[in-house]
Amino acid sequence: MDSLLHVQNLTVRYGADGQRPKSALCDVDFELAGDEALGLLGESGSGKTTLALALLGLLPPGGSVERGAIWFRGTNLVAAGPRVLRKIQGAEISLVHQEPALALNPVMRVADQVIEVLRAHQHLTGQQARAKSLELLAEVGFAPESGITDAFPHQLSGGQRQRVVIAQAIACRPALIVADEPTTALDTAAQREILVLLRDLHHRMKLALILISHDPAVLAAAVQRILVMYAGRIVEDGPAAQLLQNPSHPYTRGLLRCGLPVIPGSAQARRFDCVPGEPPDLAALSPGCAFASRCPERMEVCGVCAPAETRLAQAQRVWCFKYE
Amino acid sequence: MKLKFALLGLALIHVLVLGAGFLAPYDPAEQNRDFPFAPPMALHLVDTQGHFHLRPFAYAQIYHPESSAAVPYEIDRSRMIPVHFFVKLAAEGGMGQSGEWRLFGVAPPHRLFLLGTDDFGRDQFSRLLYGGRVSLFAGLLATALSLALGLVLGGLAGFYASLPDHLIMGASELFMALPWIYLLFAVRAFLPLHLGAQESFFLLVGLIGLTGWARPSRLVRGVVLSARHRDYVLAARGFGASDFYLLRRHILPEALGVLLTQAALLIPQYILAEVTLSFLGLGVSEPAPSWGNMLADMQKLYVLESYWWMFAAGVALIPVFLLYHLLADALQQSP
Repeated sequence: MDSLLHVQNLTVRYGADGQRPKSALCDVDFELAGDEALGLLGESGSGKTTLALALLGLLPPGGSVERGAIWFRGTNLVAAGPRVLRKIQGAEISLVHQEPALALNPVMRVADQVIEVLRAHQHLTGQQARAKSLELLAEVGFAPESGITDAFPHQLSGGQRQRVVIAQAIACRPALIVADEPTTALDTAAQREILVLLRDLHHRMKLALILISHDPAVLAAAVQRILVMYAGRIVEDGPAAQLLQNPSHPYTRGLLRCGLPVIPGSAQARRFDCVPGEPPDLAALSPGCAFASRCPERMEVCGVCAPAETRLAQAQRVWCFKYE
Repeated sequence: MKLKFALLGLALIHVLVLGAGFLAPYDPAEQNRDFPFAPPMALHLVDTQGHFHLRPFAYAQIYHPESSAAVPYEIDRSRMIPVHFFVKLAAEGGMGQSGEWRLFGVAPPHRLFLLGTDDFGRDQFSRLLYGGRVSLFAGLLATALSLALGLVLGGLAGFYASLPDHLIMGASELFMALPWIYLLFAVRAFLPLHLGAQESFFLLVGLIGLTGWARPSRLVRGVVLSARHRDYVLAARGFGASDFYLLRRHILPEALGVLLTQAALLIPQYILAEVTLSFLGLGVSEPAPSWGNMLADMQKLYVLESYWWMFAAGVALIPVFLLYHLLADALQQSP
């Protein structure tokens, strides 16, 4: 398969001096085609954000790639130096942050913040950059006459700010956008707006999208394929519709049952479902399946060794002994 | 309000000293050996007969060298010296070029000493204005130097942390522990005793500025340390911004407020440093005036006792310091 991105056995550890290292990602392995929209689903602490940061070479201090590779258009990003990375960051892979209010400099005008992305990668005159930034802002739905282009971030709503961040992300026509929970900080209406915009851009600009969320409904609306992560591992991988309707891994099933009922008093609302227990301590994982301690369908083998990849029908993969 | 007042006041003082070439009636080095320690001459509009004159005038002072009085001058109310405005300076020795325009002056051989004279008969008013240039701008330039150094070193320390941070902050602790005035003495004593006015000025500025980098650099480091983890800095890194760009565009601007306040505090401190050094004879050398070496005459007891007008430079420092501290206060409070 001719893939844009190939993450190979990626293992990332966080370790401060003298503490036991935490394995934030463990043998993450997947491929992404150039026009695919992929969703990452999982609880907080499941390694979704770490994966996003690793893809951009932005792991925080203390985090390091222990093994594995990230192949992007023939370059291994794990081994690439800062110079090569800087050419890729923003130009070929760009990141949309979770908190648009924090990702924008509060004392710079919106258009200037788009311009600075352009100027980081292209040699443009001031006028060209300005014209291009207005074009980009129009592309995410801000008409030049709306006055938003010269506003400061605090004058915008959450959804508008996230649009600006997206305009920054598409400024250099990247091949891949990594959106790390882009809708989490937004209200429902704005969430919808942003998802529609992302889906739109994905189709129109033929770019690959990695959308990270803890909300299955968000992913259902925007992506074709979903990876479910737990404790830094991929536990299930499959086409979105199929995976959401027919989850195989006990964790995925648990997670999908967790959605809060919308209509009070309905049959669904009588009981609060959740995945019992807490996510495991990443510094002290047992040799077996990471989910074993919370799994309702635990078997003896689950505590002994980690499950291997099992291919189910229709491009669905699952890491669970039930299917081996 | 406070800010405006402080800025206006400081601007006024600086315009006065910058305009010394026009506002001062005499060259600062011009000596009048016939008038040592002449007291200030008052300007009048009404004469002894009660006639009003539109043109201000002063009474001539007669020097009695043989008198035993502390101030052997007598005011001669019969001789009025009219003050003329926009006069051309006469060509009479000193550094002044002939034909320079001055705001006011009196016709030679009369002299007008608004703030009296020193033991060489040099006009204190002119020296105060010319000397203010040296003292005030020594403070400004030295502050600019130490803030620039502090910005660069503090920025590096805060941004790169680890080794650069340890080295730079270690060095800054060393500099803060050093009693700077002795350090300045030592360095100044090391250099040739007699330097030209310009060399000694820049030497002084350099010394004061270089020894003062520690405090601003620590402040900048603190700001940078907290700013470099902000999400928009990480976001900018995420689109491929270089370290230099991040520092320049996103991080260091945050230090601006702190630096401005710091500047308003450092400038008077450095003016005082210049004054102190010149007072002790290690700064700007005679005959060029500075507020420090003007005050140096006060080291003599008889000057201190009898010639109160020699305090002029010291009195001039008071509004300067008050205004700078008011400015610092206003800057700190401004949002």
